Amino acid sequence: MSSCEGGTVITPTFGRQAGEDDRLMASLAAGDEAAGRVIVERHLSQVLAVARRMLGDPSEAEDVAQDTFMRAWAAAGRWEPGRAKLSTWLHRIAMNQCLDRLRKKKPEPLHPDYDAASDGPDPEAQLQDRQLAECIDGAIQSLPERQRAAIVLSHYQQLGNSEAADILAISVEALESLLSRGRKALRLKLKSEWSELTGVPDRAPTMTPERAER
Amino acid sequence: MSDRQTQEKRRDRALVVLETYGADMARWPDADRRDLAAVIEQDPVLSERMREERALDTLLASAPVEPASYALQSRILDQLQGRQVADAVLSPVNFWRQLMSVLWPYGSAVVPAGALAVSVVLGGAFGALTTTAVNGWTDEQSYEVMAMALGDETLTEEWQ
Repeated sequence: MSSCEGGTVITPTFGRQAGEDDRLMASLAAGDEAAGRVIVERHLSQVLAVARRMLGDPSEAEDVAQDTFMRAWAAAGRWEPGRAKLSTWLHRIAMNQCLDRLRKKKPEPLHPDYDAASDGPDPEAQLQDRQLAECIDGAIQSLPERQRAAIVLSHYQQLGNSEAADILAISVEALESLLSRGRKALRLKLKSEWSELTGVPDRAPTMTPERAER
Repeated sequence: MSDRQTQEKRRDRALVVLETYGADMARWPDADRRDLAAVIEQDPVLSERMREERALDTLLASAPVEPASYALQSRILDQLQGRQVADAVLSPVNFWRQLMSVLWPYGSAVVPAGALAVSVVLGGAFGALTTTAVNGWTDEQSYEVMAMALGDETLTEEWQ
């Protein structure tokens, strides 16, 4: 597999945002609370999404998001502009916390029962959407941790391959391998839903469980 | 490398990219995005594979996460406020920073601190050199000089 660092190209907008984040951290260190508010507005949804998809538990994901920002507040005084992107740093903190929690906790049932009643205009359609989302979430949760982390960072957070690899402290090649195996495993787990969408029932890849777990 | 081999290599890479990043080109590495789109378009097998990967992408997008609640945002900002109050009261670093800003309100204190350090070193060196000049004295001579300087009444007769 060839190595490619394509995702690392820093566009002017990207660089500008990183520069603004650096300035916000400096203002925060100087006691400007408004800077902290802007940092939260910019990054909370991303941090929360990582934790939510990694842990599958909304309340635990909120704890992770809260801890991540607490560390950011603590680090503001020591923040070195240009050394790292704040978004990458926050992703790394959140991801490490998620991996720590996953290693500590025992496996639990993935899907709490949802209340079928709904206030929406089409309760049946909403229920179906919810069931599909639950099914996909379950498939993601059942991936091995590293594959899940790669899928979350690259697919859902849409980070470049180099940035995602950096967060996971692995090479781009290793990231691509995790992504490829993760997607194959997801296709296998979501076989019926996937077949319904593609109209091709027999194309889901076969994979031995031990290969899927690597 | 022949054209055929190059084409095969690009085709293999296209398959890897589809299996790894899915069908959304925005997720592909930049170099591959430019190079492989045409390869896939011209190859019916790869085009079909792209359609299948797009279906998986669509499926994965059907599981959105809830946006951050106002309550969570408030908790995080409350933490920030609490931390800054604690920092202002407790942090020794903050205390020294504030003290320095009062003593030297002209920006970085590195230059005056450096100048102070150099003057201390020079003073020490000068003191050490001066000591060499009196090193030839005996203990008795040193005592007498000290006694005279301090107005000691127990001076030797010679001095009185």
